[in-house]
Amino acid sequence: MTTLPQARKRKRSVTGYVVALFVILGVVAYLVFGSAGNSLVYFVTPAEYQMKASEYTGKTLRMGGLVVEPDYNPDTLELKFTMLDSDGVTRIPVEYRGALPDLFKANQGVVVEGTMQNGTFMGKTLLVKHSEEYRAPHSGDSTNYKQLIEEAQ
Amino acid sequence: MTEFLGLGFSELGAYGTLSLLLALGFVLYGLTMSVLGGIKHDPRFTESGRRSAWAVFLFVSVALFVLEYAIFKDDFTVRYVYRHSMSVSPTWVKFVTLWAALEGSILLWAWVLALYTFLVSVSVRKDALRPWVMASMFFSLLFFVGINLTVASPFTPNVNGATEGLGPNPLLQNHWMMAIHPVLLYLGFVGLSVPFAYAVAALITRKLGESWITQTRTWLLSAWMFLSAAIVAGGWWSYEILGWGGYWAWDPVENASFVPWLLATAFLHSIQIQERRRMLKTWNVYLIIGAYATTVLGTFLTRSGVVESVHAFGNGPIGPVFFGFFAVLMLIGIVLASVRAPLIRDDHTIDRPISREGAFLAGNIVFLSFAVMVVLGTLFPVLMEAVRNVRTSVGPPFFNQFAIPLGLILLFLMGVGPLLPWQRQKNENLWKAMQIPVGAGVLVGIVAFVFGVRDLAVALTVALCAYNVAGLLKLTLRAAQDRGGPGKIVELFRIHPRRYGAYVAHIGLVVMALGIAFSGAYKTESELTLKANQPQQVMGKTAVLKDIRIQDFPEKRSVEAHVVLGKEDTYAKLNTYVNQPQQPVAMPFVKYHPFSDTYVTLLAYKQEENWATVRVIQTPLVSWIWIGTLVMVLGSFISLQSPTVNVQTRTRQQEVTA
Repeated sequence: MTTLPQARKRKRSVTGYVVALFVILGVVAYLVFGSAGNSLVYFVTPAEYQMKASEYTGKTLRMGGLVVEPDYNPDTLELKFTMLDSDGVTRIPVEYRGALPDLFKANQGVVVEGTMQNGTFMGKTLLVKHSEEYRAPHSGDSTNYKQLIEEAQ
Repeated sequence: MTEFLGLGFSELGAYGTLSLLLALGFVLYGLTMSVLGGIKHDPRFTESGRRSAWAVFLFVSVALFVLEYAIFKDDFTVRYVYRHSMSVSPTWVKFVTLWAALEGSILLWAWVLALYTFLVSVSVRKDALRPWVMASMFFSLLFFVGINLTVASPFTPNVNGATEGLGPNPLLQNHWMMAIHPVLLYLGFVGLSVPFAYAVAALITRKLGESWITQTRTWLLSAWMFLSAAIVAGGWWSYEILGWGGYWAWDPVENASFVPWLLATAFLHSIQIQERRRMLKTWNVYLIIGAYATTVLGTFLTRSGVVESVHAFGNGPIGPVFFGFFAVLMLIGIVLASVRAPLIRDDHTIDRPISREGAFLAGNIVFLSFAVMVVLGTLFPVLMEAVRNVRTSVGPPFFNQFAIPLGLILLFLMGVGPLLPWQRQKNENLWKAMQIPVGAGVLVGIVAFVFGVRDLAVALTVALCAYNVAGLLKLTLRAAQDRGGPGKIVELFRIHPRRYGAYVAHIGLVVMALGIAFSGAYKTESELTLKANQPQQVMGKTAVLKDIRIQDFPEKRSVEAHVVLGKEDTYAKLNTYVNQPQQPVAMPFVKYHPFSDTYVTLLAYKQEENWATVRVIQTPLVSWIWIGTLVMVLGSFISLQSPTVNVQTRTRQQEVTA
């Protein structure tokens, strides 16, 4: 006699919390993933960027390519160079402020994280993959920049 | 046989493999005997299974010793030693090389698991749970010893006849924390296997009452303590080594340790509801299964190359194997729990949401949401690629979106819980209980605002911390008053170590929360190039480069820039290890202060031109995170003590003499 109402009662109280769990999860997930586009970092090569430039406006990008004509002032820590895609054609001007890693030279592969502003890629971080597998790429080489971009830490 | 073991190529490797094979044999024997003992209810089988745990521990220890010995002897006929060690490394680096790469770390995992199994075998009660607890432990051992013999064998011989090894990862030979963090982490991760084993045993034997929970409390709390310390130790390592002045980046490997921590913390609280109110039996079982399974899932995620991580040890068959084990664990858990679910009846229900159990359960839900979000966030790049075919990564801003609000909610609930009594609570009593803490929180929040805290999350953190401290102080002082004055606090700790240990742990978390909030919001940094003896201004201080010193060691070249910052001497280093000359590793200089750390990283230098580029970082209250963790660990330790009844007996004696 007494078990039936009790069972019903238990079900209600537990269901309440389970519903709360799903509601919280739903709301949080919606808020976070809904605006995820703003906090994501997209991995692109210069050529890929050029193809869908409008899509990447204001987004944080991680771009990889070959360093061409670097100009660095060690006193102001200002760096300017052109990034050449592995297709050997697409070029994008890059600006960065900060110390340079040892490996940074002309004709080296580099990965830069930052945003595009008025046609110039403003780098916030310079990432170079240092590892025993890393080999400096050459112009028109077959370096897998996609992989380099993903692996750069 | 010797051919198969590779004795011809590597003697030590063969001994290692042989002892692992023997360990595997005893694991299989122990598993069979334990299951038989459980099915036939015959204590002779159970006893036999239990004792084989001792043999397993012995042989895994031998294997561990053999690998360590091979590393110290520079025996490069063992592939692990060849790939991850070198003869010139200092002793402590060789010692930690054991767990500095994949195979060795799995062997350490197996060893810790064998150690726990041994400890369980000597402490487990002689009840119906016993055979199944041992069987579950053997089941986990089967996996770890098994992969150590197959896909992650540290004893595979190396046949290239090398006389020097490739050496350990430069990042891992830089700091003594490497000796602490992984060991603590495995003690925590593997420690969760014991409550898991008890949960499985409880499900199989249908004894889902409080017995399995009271028996695992010490295990769980110790594991939780190790895991908490390990996560923070990892953060500390990152702070001391990686040179960016932070300690947490939501890297998949960090998330991998954080998710089990969240679930274990939820479990730690919800089992109290089961002990007190005999509710949430199924929920608790699912939680501990989830906590244990996520330790395996985390290892899969970070070791398989599925997600990018600083810890990715490279691809290999290890990923799918771990995923398989994760799937098996979840499957066992879910199938068992759903088969048994109709039998499980909770004796009580939550009568009112505003009660301690209500607050604990709400906290559980937040913990669980947090864990799910962290897992989703970690997998998000994988999902994005699958759905939209773009490669992306998610960084701290993404995680902070939900971590900050959820963390604040947890801080709030942490303050409510202890103030509320179990079961029913009338609303007016709630308000009465909350007056002082809420008042303190609001007051301190306003003070913080007046003193210039304009960041909403930080201001809220400060207010919530004050409210937590006020609540705990109020409770403690009132209890002491009831016993005759504030001097009785020590006595309270003796009588109720669990409760007051928990209070101490909460205070530790409060200290930590302040550290996280302030260091996250008010970090300032600047990069500058200094010429020798030419002062420059940086963040309100004068920076002068005194000199650059280069020292050569057998295993590394160390460049040290002596920079005077304000009145402080700093010595940031850049180490280049002989085994990876192309990857210099910065060794930041950290000067710990109670209120703001000074942090200098050497980025680039030229000795002949006498210049050095440094990054200077000022971060407030970072030390509070380390101190808070120590307090939290101390609290868990107090909680583990058994209550003394001396006080009561003494009063009774007095009564008798009077």
